[in-house]
Amino acid sequence: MDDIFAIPIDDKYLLYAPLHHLTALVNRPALAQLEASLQADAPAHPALQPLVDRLRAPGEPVPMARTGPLTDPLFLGIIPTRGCNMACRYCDFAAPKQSSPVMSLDLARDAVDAYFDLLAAAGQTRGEVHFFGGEPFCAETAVHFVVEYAAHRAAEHGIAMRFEATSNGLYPAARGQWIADHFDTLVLSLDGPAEIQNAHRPTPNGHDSFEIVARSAAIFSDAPIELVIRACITQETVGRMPEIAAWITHEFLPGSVCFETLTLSPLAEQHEMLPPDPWEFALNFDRAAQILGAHGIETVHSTASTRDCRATFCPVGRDALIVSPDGWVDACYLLHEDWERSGLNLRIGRLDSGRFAIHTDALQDVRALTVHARPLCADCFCRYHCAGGCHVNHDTRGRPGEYDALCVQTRLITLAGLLREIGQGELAAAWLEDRAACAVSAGQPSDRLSRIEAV
Amino acid sequence: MQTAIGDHAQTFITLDTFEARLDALDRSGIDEIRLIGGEPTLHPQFPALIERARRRGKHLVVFTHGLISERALAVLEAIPVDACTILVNTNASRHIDGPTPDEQARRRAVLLRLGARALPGFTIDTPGAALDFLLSLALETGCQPKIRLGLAQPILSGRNRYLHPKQYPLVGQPIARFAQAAAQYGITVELDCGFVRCMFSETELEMLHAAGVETAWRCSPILDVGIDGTIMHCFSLGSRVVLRPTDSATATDLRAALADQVRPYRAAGIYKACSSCSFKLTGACTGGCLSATLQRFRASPAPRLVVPEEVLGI
Amino acid sequence: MMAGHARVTLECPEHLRWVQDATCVWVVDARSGAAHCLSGTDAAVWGWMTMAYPYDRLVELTGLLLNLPPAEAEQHLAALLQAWIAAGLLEIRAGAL
Repeated sequence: MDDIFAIPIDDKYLLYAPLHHLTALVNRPALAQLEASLQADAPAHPALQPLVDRLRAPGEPVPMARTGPLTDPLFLGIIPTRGCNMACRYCDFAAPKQSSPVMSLDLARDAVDAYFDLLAAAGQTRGEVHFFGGEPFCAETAVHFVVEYAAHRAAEHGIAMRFEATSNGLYPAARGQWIADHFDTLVLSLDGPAEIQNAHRPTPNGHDSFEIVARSAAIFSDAPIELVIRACITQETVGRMPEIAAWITHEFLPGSVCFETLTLSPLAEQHEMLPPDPWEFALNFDRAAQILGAHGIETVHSTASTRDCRATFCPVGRDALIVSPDGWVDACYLLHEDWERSGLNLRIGRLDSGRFAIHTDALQDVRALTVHARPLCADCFCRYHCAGGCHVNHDTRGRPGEYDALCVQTRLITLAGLLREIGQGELAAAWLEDRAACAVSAGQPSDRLSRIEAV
Repeated sequence: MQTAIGDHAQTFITLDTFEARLDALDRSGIDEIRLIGGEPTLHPQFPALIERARRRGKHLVVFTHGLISERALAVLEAIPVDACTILVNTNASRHIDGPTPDEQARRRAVLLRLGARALPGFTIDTPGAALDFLLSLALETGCQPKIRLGLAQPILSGRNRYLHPKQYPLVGQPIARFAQAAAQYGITVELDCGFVRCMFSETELEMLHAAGVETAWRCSPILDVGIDGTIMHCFSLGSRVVLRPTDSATATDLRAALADQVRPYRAAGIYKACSSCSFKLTGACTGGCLSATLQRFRASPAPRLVVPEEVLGI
Repeated sequence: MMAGHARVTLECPEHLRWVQDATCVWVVDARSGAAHCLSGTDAAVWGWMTMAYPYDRLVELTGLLLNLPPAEAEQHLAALLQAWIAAGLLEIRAGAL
């Protein structure tokens, strides 16, 4: 009964058991019968018995924190620089854009060596290198070297490699082509058509960035690389999400489009940019998803993916080893000033003479940052998908059920997605149109079946 | 061997040239002629072309969009059922957004008249392509119990709308499901050239085989003969891979010569992984459409490298 | 390094076509029909050349890649460039600009 949830959708309930991979739409009497049958371990109405049988069978294990020695790192993260060649009006990165240090090639090689030594010692056959920034390609020689060197070491060890980067796309075509040739996945920040992109993401001298970034997106579209377009949505652009989606289908070939809401920052406030209303975001996310889906493009909101069950939202806690330009090894690619502001220490070690010197206690502390340690999420049906979201930017220390705007949009988008998965697309669309009905669904303090008042 | 008898510039093959093409087929021992275009039924002497091919005893395959004149339809209707296959592309349209209801109604009427002469085809150019209408079309018009599916391929020297190889896996499942549904009605799906094995999961491959779909992951010279006599590898490669025929060349010679022209590029395929894929290395899959493969190749890197003379031993 | 010495310019012939595959770079000579498969260090240097790195930087990157001191890295790179010239993947142009 523990991880069986029921969420009101108009006059019905969405029954959701993520660990049993079960989603069903039931009415109130059926939900009550189901709950009673599960509680009493008694037979149910024949129509409900298959559901009861599924829920009584063992589900997948509850996602828990990692334990044991560090043998299976999620990936090697390389931050070649914190610098950036853009001046996004909402940027929440406090690092200096022009004068940030660049990772030395020696340090980059040490990081790759340390990673492969770890993989080889653990008998791993797969490896991944992810690049973050600032803008990682502002220190492109480090990237060019790491990719070739990691491929070289991977061939020595018979390890299959993947390369992924998060990038702003502001570089010459030949640079984009090299990325397209050598990377498996590129997450490209592109907020929409020219007027949106140029208003949100200008260059430091105030010039438009759209033309160059769109050219990069076209290069990535035409290449084998998996392109993920990441669009930041504001109060001003939320109503244009379907239009942005249609534009993307017309211009590019991404595998997925990731819509994320603006994170408030001093710079965003200075430019009077605000996050969208969560209900409007969910409504337009669903509309955009239908447009993109018709073209085989997946629509993603990072906290609302139901693809798998997880104990932590991001690389934090999953043994990612993210190396910064000065050689520190962290669990998170955000700035340490940002973690500290949130009362976290995500530093787990340092590169030392070509080896990872990992502090065991620090690693265990970071691994313990799971959804089980986030009170706000205790009774939410999204707990094994959202898992509380970003450890740094989403405060989940509140009481269970006191959902904030990020929770509300996650809950609504997840609900709409689950309804569509079981063929209830029309209901999902109609329910999302009804703000009051959505408020009831999103505002239910506990989704646990055992605590549903109606039952 | 396919013979173009009209093109977009509205030039048409002459009857004498057409006779020469028939001679070439005779020389190669080929008893089938395939008429392609443009739209072959637009040829002003279409009845005469059909009549000459028939006189030589050739089985006729006509590639048409199906939106054809009454005159051309009457000519096709007069061909015995076992002497021809009229391949009707059901998603050709005058409109960029695809066929209008009027166009589909006209095509349906044409298929009804052609009956078992006709074989409906559909070229998939978007992951969201709806295929189900083909079943009712095939069942209600009495055409051959087959449906030919193609993948829209890039035309190497043009800018047509095509399905990018990245999108192939997205259509794998719909095709397998469609083939399964078609098989329940005794209709077999035929896959055109350019399909690749890895666009289907193992389950989907089993579904295809159970539905009687022949899977040959192929791309080879088709021998399209242009109006000017130029022999092309295929429509997609257009004028980029061509031969000038000689009087004595047979189809086998021409295929070998065209294959030679493109041999160095065959090491690669439509995906980065093709050249190291066991299915390609063993010849079980050609690695997709050569035109899509050639699109991946780039011109020489422009940058210069300035080096000390001593490095080169100069 | 051999800085200060007379220099020559190397360029790829215009009739080369190339593609990056998962395990190698295929380079095709459109005139002769020859296909070359560059893998390992060769593929890495090819990729860096397309990024227009100057010779000295290529020596440094090659040294780091193979864990070689500069002189040996330069020898390795020189042998590679000479092989490419012999195979027609590079042509010697006029002297340095």
